[in-house]
Amino acid sequence: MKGVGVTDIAKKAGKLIELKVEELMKLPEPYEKISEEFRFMESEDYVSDLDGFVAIDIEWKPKSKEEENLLVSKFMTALKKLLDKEANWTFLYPLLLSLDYCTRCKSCSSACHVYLGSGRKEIYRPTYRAEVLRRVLNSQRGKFRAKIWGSIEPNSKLVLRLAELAYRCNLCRRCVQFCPLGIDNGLIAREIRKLFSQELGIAPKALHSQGSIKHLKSGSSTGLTPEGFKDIVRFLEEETFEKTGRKIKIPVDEKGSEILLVHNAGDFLTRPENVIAFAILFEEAGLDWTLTSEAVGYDAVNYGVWYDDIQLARIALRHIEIAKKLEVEKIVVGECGHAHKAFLVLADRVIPDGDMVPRESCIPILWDLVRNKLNLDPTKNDFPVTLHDPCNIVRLSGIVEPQRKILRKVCPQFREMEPNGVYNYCCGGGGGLAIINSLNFPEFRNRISSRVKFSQILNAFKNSLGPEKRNFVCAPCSNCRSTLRDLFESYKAREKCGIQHCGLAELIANALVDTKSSFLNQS
Amino acid sequence: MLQLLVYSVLFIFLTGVALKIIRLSNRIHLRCDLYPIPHVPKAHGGGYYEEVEWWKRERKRSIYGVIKAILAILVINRRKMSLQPRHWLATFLFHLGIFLHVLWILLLILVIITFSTLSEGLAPIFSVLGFTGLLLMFVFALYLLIRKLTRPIRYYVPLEDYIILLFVLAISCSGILALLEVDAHHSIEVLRSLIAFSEPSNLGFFETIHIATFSILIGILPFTRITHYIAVFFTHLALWDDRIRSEFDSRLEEIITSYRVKWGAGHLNPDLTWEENTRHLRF
Repeated sequence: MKGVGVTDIAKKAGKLIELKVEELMKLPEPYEKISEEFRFMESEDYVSDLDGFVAIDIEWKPKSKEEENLLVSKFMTALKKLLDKEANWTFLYPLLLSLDYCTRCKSCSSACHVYLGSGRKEIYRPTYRAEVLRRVLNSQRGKFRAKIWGSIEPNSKLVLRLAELAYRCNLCRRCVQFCPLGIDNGLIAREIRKLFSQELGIAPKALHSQGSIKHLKSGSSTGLTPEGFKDIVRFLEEETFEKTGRKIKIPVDEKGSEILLVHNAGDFLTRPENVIAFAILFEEAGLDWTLTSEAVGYDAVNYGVWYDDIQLARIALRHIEIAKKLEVEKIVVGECGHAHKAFLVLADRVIPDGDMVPRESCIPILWDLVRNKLNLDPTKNDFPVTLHDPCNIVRLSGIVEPQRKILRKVCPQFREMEPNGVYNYCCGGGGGLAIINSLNFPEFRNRISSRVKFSQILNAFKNSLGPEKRNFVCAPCSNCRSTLRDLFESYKAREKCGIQHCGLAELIANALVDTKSSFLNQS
Repeated sequence: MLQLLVYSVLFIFLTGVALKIIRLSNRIHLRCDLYPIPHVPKAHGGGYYEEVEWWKRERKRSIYGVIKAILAILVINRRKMSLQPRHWLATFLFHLGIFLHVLWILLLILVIITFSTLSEGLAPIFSVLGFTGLLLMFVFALYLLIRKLTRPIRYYVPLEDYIILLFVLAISCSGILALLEVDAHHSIEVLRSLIAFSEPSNLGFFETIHIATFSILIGILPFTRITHYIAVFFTHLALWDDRIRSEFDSRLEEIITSYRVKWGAGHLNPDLTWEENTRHLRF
């Protein structure tokens, strides 16, 4: 079969590729012969002609030649700004290095879980979208350069498909690790998302209008208001007492506390056991900590990380300002991967005031508690446990060992999945894909981008799979857990194989000597 | 003529490389850490965020780790080896060929500038070194050309790559044929003439082609992607740049407070600075 060329993105009618279930990467037993199917979209309004899936759930397809021309013209304006040293001081330098020096050796492809999971479909190569961007830019650099370096004249088909294609990458940047030249194709994918957001206002609703905008406007991307947040905290205190017999007071807005703990607000609503576990552990260890009920502050997420530098800076600034107002000594980021990257890595150079409140991950603190302060009985966790390494925490923030030390200490049957640590595979929900749940996009995630991870998990538990078993994937990241939850549901992994997901704090809380009932059973 | 060409391209090459290094140096951007970061002396690729209250601790830096990582990138290229072992071997041998050829030229220059003569015992060794380098270049340039023409990679390969590979084939092929006719003593004499800015005598056809094509390639190198041998350091510097805010001078503050955002989406104000856009929300 003829492959899909780079220039086909601007030419080919219909879908750019035809995905077939039988061509996807094979899953291990017991899913070797499972029958799967795709539910592709065909739409006049949404961009479904990339691969039949739609991430950008906005009706933005031009309806006339004039609208097409306007779209292309706006795109070209955005490209100019992408290369402008003021408009894109944030990432211009690494972007240019990545655009100008790729030798097309394709080492990155073999490192990419989306490409592998899809059965090696050309358009999912990390270099495909990068090459499209490169050639569009070359088309503006004069005839000679366009000829020598290769070019594509942009049209509306290319613009629409390129925007969708930017959301077929998890931004996990594993490809960069395997590039002999350090070319950052993950960054290129994000830069493409960025130009669409920052110039055309185009991004999946879950990230923008229902994400960062809602976060800044109403306090949280979940819609949780300050009053609602306080109600939930009181409810969690009651819940903790009811289920564990522990009477705890969860501190909120305690000025002058040592620690401001920030959770992904989704955890308060869908994974309260994680928030409760932190409260139990911090109280047990006698830490001086607080949550905040201030809008924006009680939600640690920062979706700008995935698509928009200014939204990133705005949310990061609010977080730091709230911590300053509370006069805390430091911010501790709960089990949320991209919040780690936002707080620890990115916020550092993007917010206006250089007077930063120190920020740190919850994971080294949890290890400190496990090692020095908590009375634990690991036999309470005597079931198979493996660790999923969230890319944002491990590969992109360099926190690798403390979580392993914890699991070795509290889980007698802990086993690694392969590969692991900084060379892990993404869960398939990274880069915001975990929260894009409209139209048919979850199918792309469950069938393709999470495929390699599912295979890794099945292999990690291969001797203990079965409906009667309890196998736990510890994923210390809220979005990874949402991805795993949907993935396991779609493959009925709990019913068939006994596979569940949990957080790190829950496993520690479950091992506490004086926890009467099993903490994990409560969840 | 040939000596003029050699001196001209050397000037263009050195100027081009110097300008490229200046252009790539000392840029401020947001962090794009990618672990393992080799100057952090931690096992398993971790960084300083693994420590409780990391900002209160001394941040140790390992020069040994950086040297090891650079050697791994330049020489062994372990990561590529693990995913594409055959391609790794081919490109390794290709680059080894280039390295040996350059080494051969540098050794000949060393003999000339130290006013020593090449002993009879050393001459064949020099010839073998030169020949091996050129042979590796030729064989593996041919491999790369065939790969780029026949594999799906062909969709991505620009004309520039083919031109450069054809140059390499011309250089290596003419060099091999020239070395079959002359020995190292002759090569030294030719090089001596070029350095002294005089027309080399007894120059064979293949020698002329070799020197001319090699010179032209050197001259155009700074303007091609082949300068990846320079860029590779800068890409990794960006990935390993884990400096925190307090380690920056006032330039970063100036950028945030004076650069205009320029982007035109509805939630932004293009005429305001980064700081103003961060502080003043638009929905």
